Amino acid sequence: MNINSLPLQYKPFKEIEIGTNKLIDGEVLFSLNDNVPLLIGMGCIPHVWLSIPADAKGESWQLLVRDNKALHPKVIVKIEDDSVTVNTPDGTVLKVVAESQNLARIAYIDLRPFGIDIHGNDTSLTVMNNNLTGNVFSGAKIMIGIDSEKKMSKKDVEPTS
Amino acid sequence: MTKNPKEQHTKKTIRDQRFDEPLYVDGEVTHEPETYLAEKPYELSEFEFSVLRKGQFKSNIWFELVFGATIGFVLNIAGKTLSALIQKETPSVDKWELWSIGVGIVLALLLRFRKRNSDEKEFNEIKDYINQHFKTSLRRRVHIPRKEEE
Repeated sequence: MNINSLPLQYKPFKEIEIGTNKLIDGEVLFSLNDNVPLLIGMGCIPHVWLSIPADAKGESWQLLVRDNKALHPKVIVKIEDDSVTVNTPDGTVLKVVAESQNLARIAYIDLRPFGIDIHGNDTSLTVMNNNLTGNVFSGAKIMIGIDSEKKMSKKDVEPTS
Repeated sequence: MTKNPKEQHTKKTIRDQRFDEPLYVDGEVTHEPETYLAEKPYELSEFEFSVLRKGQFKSNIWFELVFGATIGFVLNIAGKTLSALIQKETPSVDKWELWSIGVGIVLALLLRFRKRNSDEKEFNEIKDYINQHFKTSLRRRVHIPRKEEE
């Protein structure tokens, strides 16, 4: 999914919590060279779109889950009262819970089986070797942009090792 | 100055900060997810979509109606015959009932195998192309990679 042509049915949650980080009034969580791997749409049950790279360079992408419907026989989307879980032969890759009409929480995410180095749980989020906790992203269209050429960020980051 | 390879994989921590614009990080796709890419999707053009959208054609609907009515009529006669047998009476079928079934079958066959108009020919052609694409499209080797140890 390209950042400039998101599905018309997609309406983002006002707030999404992921690994103690928050995206408020944003549109998408991640963008990888203008491709959006994950969308969490608003609803009593979250609406999930999951897109994966169709080649090693990530130039073309393919939808794996469209609005909670799996487009691959090995992928199972489980919908329960207020949560959506995406299971694959590599294990669970996503679990999203709708905490309220305006708030969704990503309880678990692991996109590494798809060649995207993003994983996390309720306590932290790791994106391309960057560990994020307790951050607030307010009003940004994209929470984290992943680029093969690093763009300037407003904040300095401290390496741990 | 070239970047030290160790620096590229240095784990960075971003904690308790506030952002009002996207945070950009270095990175790219690590590998092609072969397990989940069974075949290349068919590239449906807008023109082909407009043809497929026509969906059900009137003659197909008429075939289903006539065939359904004929089957219904046959069941009606079967029910009448069964009832007569249960009451130990001789079942009787009127000639017009048999003619009706015969006409129904002939009409259904004519509707089913009639010459298609150009719209339907186009519709079936596109369906054949799509079918052919998925039959001939290269399937990747499907394998389940071992789970990495944390």
